Amino acid sequence: MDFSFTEEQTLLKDSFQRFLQDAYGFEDYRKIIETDQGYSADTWAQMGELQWQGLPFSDADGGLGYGHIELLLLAEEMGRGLCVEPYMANVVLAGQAIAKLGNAAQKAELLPGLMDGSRQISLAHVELAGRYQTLWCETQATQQGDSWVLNGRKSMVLNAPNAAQLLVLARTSGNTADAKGLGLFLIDANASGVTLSPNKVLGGGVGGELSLDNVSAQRLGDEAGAVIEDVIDLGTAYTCADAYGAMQALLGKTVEYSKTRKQFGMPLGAFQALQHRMVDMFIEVQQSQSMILMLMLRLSDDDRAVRQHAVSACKAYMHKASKYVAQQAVQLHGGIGVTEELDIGHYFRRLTAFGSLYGDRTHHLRRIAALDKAQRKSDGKLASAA
Amino acid sequence: MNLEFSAEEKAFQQEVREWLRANKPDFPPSLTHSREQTMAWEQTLASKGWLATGWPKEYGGTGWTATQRYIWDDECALANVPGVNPFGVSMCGPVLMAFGSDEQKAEHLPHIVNATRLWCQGYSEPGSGSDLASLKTRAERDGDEYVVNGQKIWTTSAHIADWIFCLVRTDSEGRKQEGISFLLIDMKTPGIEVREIRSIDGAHHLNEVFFKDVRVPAKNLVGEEGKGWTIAKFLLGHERTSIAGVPMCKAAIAELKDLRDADPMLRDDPKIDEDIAALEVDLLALEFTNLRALERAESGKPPGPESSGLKIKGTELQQALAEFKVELGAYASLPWQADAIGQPAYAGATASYNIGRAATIYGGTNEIQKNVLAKFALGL
Repeated sequence: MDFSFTEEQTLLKDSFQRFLQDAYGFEDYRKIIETDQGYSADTWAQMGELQWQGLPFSDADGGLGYGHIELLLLAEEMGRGLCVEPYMANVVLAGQAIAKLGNAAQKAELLPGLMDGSRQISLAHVELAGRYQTLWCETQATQQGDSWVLNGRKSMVLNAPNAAQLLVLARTSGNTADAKGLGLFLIDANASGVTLSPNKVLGGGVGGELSLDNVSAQRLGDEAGAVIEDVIDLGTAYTCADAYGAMQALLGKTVEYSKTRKQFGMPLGAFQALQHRMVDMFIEVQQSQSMILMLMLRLSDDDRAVRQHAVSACKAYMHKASKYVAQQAVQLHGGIGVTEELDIGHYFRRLTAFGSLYGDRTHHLRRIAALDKAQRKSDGKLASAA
Repeated sequence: MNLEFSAEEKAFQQEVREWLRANKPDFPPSLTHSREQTMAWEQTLASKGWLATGWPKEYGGTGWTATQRYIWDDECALANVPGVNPFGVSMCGPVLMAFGSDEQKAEHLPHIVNATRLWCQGYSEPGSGSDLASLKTRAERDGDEYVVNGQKIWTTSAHIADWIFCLVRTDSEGRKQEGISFLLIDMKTPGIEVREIRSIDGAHHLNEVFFKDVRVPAKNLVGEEGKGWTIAKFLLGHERTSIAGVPMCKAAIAELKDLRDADPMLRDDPKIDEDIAALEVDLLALEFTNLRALERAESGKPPGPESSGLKIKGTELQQALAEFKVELGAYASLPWQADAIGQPAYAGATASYNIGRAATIYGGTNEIQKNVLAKFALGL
């Protein structure tokens, strides 16, 4: 039994933390989130020089060839450091989708720029009507000779206003809720028929509503449904680790504050009711850490159902735990906790966004139940007629 | 990072599973076991050498690694075999190994490891619950003996035990923690009276124990006089990984799923599925926190911050599972059959739920655990 990280993993994590501490302080962050692009181009370029964007790509694809343990360690530091660089949108979502579905020519065209930070690409898969059903898709792709034409709408396209290209999940056959009959298509963001309504995203970053009217596209790979599900699972894992970093920051800041802030002539931390609240926060952070370790161990399992269960269990647990920690951090800070002046409120927003991204607790509990029933059926514990 | 069992550990798991299948007690599972049943099962374990799973080999223990013990506990829960009375093997034994004299070890350890003596624990008193150090039961030195007067309460198994280990006051001066001593007392000594307390599961686990001029040989003092509090703290920090009750919770969830699937009205109820999934997720977090603590123990490190919440989270989950089973049973949970578990499925659901409320009270209430965590983990 071994829960320890390798020396290399520990060194990487330390270097992420140091870089992000130096990259921008809270005041810089506040200026960055007011800009239209919602991130720091300088910091993004520096990350590119350090090859952070290449971290999870294989050697064959020109990346650093690290696994998901290193990726989640990076995410944790992003969360702790309140970092708003568009890593998730470019590297985890679009990047992994291209790495898994693109042919050699497409990879050669897209990945080098993505890895040095000079090219930005967003994944457009969300449709509001499908709520958290990853593969719910009304957007249609129609073949015209060698190319394809897309029609439909996509929502919550993360970082879309900064993207030169977009990857769109679209239906080639079947019904809206089918898992099959889906393709992934690359379009230029400024192509004819593309309309993007940009918006800021809760917790930092930008996104957009995408409208597609006879947009010409090239296809990546064949059936895309299972790959996109896997990519969204990796994205979910990434956001869990990010949330874990933010939760640690909130706990530390709240405990420190309770030792200095005095009322009734005593530090807040001397009151038992508040001590117990902070102990509950501490326990939730510890349990979340256990879930992240579980995820790190099981994300490389050969069995897809084990990986899916791990992601959903982690998200279901951490949605509740992160909400508790965020709410109590604000409560224990009192009035100052509900202002934009303090970082507490910004972590709060980040964790609220975490809860809703790629499925909330209810969605993931239902997914766990469905996976379990499928397992029990195959184990013969559940009559297949039932 | 790696959680795979080694080939040796997998072989061990197989061996344990087969042995438990072949040697499982033939009496039905129950909330309370008689002295005869308890002794019979523990002696079966002892004859295999598998009773003292946390002890080193030199004292007749298994000498198992933390992982082996984890496998053992897991397999015992899966096989649904009775638990082992913790007061001898998990409490008195380790205390004697750490603090006892050679004579005390020679006198008591073989009886514990062979399950020929049953122990109970004399800690709480009517006026000393969470504030344990305020205890008043007095032991006054008289020649080669201590004379003990006072009362203990919530003493599990006192009515079937041979011996009791007690915290007693040998000095009333100074800090209240400093006048406490750790004493071993034969339950057959004249002047001891045991009175039954019936708990809300309708069963008899708990007792009051009265001491009136009970004469105890001074050689039964463990450690130094006045240093009993140190031993009490040693015991509280001991065996943290088993306190979470992970194997028990796993077995409970497996049972809940079987009950759901056997019931046409529950089988396709999405709310029930969601509730069970939520319990399962809580269990997974608890299990991995427990594994982290176990890994530290195995590599010889002191318990880390992760282990501090184990008692709190573990007991909360045990209670949530018992509560859920009652609700799953609907009317079937209501017939009151104290001391019944097994068939019919819900016969013991309410009894388990009722007595399960004690889990967040005993071993230091969860509120006391939070006081301790606030101080030592958060520096408040």
